[in-house]
Amino acid sequence: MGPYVLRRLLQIPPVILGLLVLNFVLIHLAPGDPLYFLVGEGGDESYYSAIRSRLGLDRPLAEQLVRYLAGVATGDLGRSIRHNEPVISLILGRVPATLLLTGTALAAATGVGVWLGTLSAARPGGLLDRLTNGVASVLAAVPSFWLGQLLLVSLAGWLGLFPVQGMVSARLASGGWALIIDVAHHLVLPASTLALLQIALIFRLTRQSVRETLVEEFIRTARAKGLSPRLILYRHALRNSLLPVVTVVGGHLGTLLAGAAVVEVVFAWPGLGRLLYDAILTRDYPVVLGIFLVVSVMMVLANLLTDLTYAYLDPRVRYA
Amino acid sequence: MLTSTRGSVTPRVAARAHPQKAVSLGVVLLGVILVLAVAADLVAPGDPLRTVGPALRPPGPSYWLGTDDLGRDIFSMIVHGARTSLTVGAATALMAAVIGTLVGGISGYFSGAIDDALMRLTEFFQVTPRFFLATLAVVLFGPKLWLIVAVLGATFWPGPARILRSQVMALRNREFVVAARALGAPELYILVRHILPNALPPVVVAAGLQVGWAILTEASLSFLGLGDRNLPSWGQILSSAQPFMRTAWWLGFFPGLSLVATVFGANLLADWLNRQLDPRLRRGPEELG
Amino acid sequence: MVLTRNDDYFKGGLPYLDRVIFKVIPQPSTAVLALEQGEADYLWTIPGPDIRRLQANPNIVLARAPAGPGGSFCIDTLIFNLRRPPFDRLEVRQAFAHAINRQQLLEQVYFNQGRIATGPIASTMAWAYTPDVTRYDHSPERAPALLDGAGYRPGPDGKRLKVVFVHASTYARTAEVIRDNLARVGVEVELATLEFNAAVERVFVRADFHLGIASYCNGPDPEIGVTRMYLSTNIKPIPFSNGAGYVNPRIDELFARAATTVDEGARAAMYHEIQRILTREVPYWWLIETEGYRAFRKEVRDLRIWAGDLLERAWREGTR
Repeated sequence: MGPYVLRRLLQIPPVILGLLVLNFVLIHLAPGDPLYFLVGEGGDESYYSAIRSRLGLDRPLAEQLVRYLAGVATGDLGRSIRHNEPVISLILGRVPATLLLTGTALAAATGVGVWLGTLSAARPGGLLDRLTNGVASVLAAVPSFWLGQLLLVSLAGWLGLFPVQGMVSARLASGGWALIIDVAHHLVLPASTLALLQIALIFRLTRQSVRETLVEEFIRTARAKGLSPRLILYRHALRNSLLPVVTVVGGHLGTLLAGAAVVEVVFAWPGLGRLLYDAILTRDYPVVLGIFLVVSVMMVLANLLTDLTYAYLDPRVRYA
Repeated sequence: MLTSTRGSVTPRVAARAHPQKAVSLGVVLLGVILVLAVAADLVAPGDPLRTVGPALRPPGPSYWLGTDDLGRDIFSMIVHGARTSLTVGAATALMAAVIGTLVGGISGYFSGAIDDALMRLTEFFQVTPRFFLATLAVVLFGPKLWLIVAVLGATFWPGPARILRSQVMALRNREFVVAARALGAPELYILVRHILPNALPPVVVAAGLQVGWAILTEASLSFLGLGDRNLPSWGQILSSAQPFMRTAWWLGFFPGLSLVATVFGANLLADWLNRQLDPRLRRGPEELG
Repeated sequence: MVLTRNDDYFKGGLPYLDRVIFKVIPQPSTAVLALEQGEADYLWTIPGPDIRRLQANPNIVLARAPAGPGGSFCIDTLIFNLRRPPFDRLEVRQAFAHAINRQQLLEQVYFNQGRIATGPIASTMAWAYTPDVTRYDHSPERAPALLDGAGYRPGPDGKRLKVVFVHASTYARTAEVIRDNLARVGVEVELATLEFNAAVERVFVRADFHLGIASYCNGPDPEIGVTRMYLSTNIKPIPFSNGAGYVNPRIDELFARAATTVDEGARAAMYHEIQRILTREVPYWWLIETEGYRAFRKEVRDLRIWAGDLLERAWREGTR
């Protein structure tokens, strides 16, 4: 196992370097110049060129790339052209909101999905199985923004149960419990939207995995020993079914973050997805590159974890 | 043999008809959409993006599904939009299956340095946040449908590739392959003749599952205003329906429903295929005892 | 963004408000919901579909404001690329002017937030404006003869010519109406919907387009916002310059004289002549003089919508 882990770890830096170069080249290949958004209608040529050189945009691409890579190596992701702030602090400022949203959604989705999936697998073809499976199949087909808008218009708009946008009420002056409750109140709709879509995935994975486990030898052995069906289901079958579920969910981090980005736009949630969306629309290169780096690194790590778990479970992969 | 423990944990022989019903529903849903897409010019003749009447007319006898804010017929746009969505779904899945087969097959069969290099490439594309990459590409190079398909196809293949690779690796040392090799068959022949036919079905399913994803991704891009405006597309109608969610519900409702129906149908079919291919699930636990 | 009261403001006792919070809500419909539910007090732009509902809401005050988002006295203007066919021909430009249904645009896209423009200077800039210019009413039946005259006869498929319309995604609705209008006279308009910066670069910097669109704002004086569009010396790769590539020595001379003339009556006469020449030659096609609504909760008092010091005297009922 040791050499395999080391080998996999060594493969990471080139992948990240490749991602960085790809993104950098893509962005600079495209037409359009971030200056026009910055300077607006009123500037003349000298003004434009002054700003361009201040931002280093007048240097050759290769030099900009080398500078960028050297910066990344020292933890410097450059400055946002639009906000004139270090990219790293912009990103770090948005990470908590996204983590809160995705974390809550993932926790809720995992809890509900695993629970329903196990119950369904215990009685394939039963009423619960059919019902949940049907709902999950439909949910898996619903676009996140549509679901978000439906919830927004119905629960927040017509019924007025929840705030329609943002993470905290603008007027809230106090902190402490009032703040926590306020944020939780804002969190319900976006997190539910995101969770409902993840539930579909997790439910189906768990259901399939538990069903597969239930036909394994050791379950039959357990049954033969006369253990109670409940104990077999939760202690033996579920526990052995969870790892594949966890690994697949780990591999879906990109989907989760993409879903979060759209949901963040719908609900004006101040997270990474919103930052990326705004940065793409205003062509704020350093911010776009920075977010790509952060998201890609997260995905590289999740992928590594998945592979290692697989290798741990299935020795054939390890020696291949 | 273990009949005594068939309590609440293992099922009775139950509801075998259910998957059958599900696939029928999938076939019907997809079939209807497909027929509409193919016969779009007969069902709703004329340019779907032209103004035909007053704006924001609710569903009724003259405009079945109502008109949008520019007085365009929603039904006509949905029927013609089906082409766009199905094209995106099918083309992406096809591209993902072809690239995935090539990469996964070669990687799994030859192992060693080739495998290593190809797996790095696969991983590279797998860790690239594909929705964000598609967003970026469209923003940078303009909203063209072929570009959206190309980016999705180019990022959706790692899944099928990895599945095929592990399939091929598992099959590589099976008796019939070893036997063929012992008989002196060329490697390429073995790969194409013996291994691929046995390894491909899961890839087809994996690619089939991408159809739904691809359609949803295109819709999400369109929702963010990044769709191709020269073509009618469901995501596009949904995107322009956003401001009217509360004043003209039919604008967003029907295209959303079409989207759900199509993706749902595609997923049901892919599930059914999956069930057909996975012997353990097909037999079902109840037949083991 | 949070603004805090400046206690040392030069007018004693002002401003009344302690804090003002600015928030960006990406989805316009969500922003309206926020206003309706009292999460926000003041809304900068109102999506057209919601105007009627807001007017009916007793808790919300709707006020007309003279400006679009980019400045004052703004006119959404089509840019004909005069440097290449087909818009090097006057007849083609006239055909477009007759074919485009500006009344439809005003009603369906602008939701009556504005007026149909008559020429290069906004009607609200009363001292310099003249209605006595060449008018092109919506009469698509006149387009075929004009296009025939320019040599663009219908092909076997009924199409006379094809143009590429480069526009920022914010103009997508306008572009779709124009495409439909032109399709009716045998002109195929291909939409190139780009993100704002990319569209600006393609039209103004690379001049790679047939038809473009931009919001040109007159500013406080024609010298600031009008002149730049028509001077032959202002044909340069700079955003919101003379994007059409229009060259007319008489116009150059008139603008130069108007810039140095002090007497307002004399200046107005020069601007009137400019308007008459430009409407004859239609180097651009002036679509809509845009006007926006601002909406605010009725608890907010003494906002100064028209002036620069919006919030100087503002206060809010129910708070100190």
